[in-house]
Amino acid sequence: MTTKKNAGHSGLGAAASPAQKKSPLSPRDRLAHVIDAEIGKKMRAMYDDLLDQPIPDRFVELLKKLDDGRENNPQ
Amino acid sequence: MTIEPALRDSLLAATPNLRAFAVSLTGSFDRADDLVQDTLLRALSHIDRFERGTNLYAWLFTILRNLFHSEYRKRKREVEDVDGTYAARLKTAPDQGSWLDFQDFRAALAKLPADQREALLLVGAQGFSYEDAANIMGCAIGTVKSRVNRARMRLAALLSLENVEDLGTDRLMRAIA
Repeated sequence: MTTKKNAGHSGLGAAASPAQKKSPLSPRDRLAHVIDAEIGKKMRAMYDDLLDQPIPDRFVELLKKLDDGRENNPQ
Repeated sequence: MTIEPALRDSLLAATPNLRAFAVSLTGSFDRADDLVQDTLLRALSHIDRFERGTNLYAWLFTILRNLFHSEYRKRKREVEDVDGTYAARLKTAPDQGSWLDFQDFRAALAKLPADQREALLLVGAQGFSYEDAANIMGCAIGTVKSRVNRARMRLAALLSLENVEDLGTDRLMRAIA
């Protein structure tokens, strides 16, 4: 079960990591990697900002009800 | 309805991720929160079907994604131009914190077909493996890869990332060198 904030970045960022394949990339491919990295960076900035927002009360309440139910109807 | 506290906590921990995905997918906080609520209710009512110890996130995202698409199909009957309505919703989205800071990116994301948008978000933002994303989207791994690649190319064009100046001289020199 994943408990980390994200399930692990195996996607876009990985394409531009220093640990690239040994085979030399053409300038065009290397530029493509830079572009992919830029998109990954922008997207994660947007996504991380959303992740940092507080959970609306309605969801906390919804899940908290389960606790009450458990206390009232122990199984 | 009762579930073990550890699983309840995991559901709570996953909620920000479900919400981030739903907001990115729909472009609307209101619609996203309805989607997340429906996802949690569906998950709770089917919690016995969740195999303990397997990937809870993948299970929840599958539910959310299926709900999104069944809603999408319903809406499609009402509104023909789905992409157009998405763009319209973006314009009227409430100012919610730094959400506006990412306006350019969101506008570009909104122009992607839904299947490319969700593939890119699952892999590139949420960090699912291609295999998990394929299970969530109910398609082949190769299809996920191709959707992600097309999404990236389209986004690069929309954001004018091919433009040399946007990348900065240093980075370009390093890229070409």
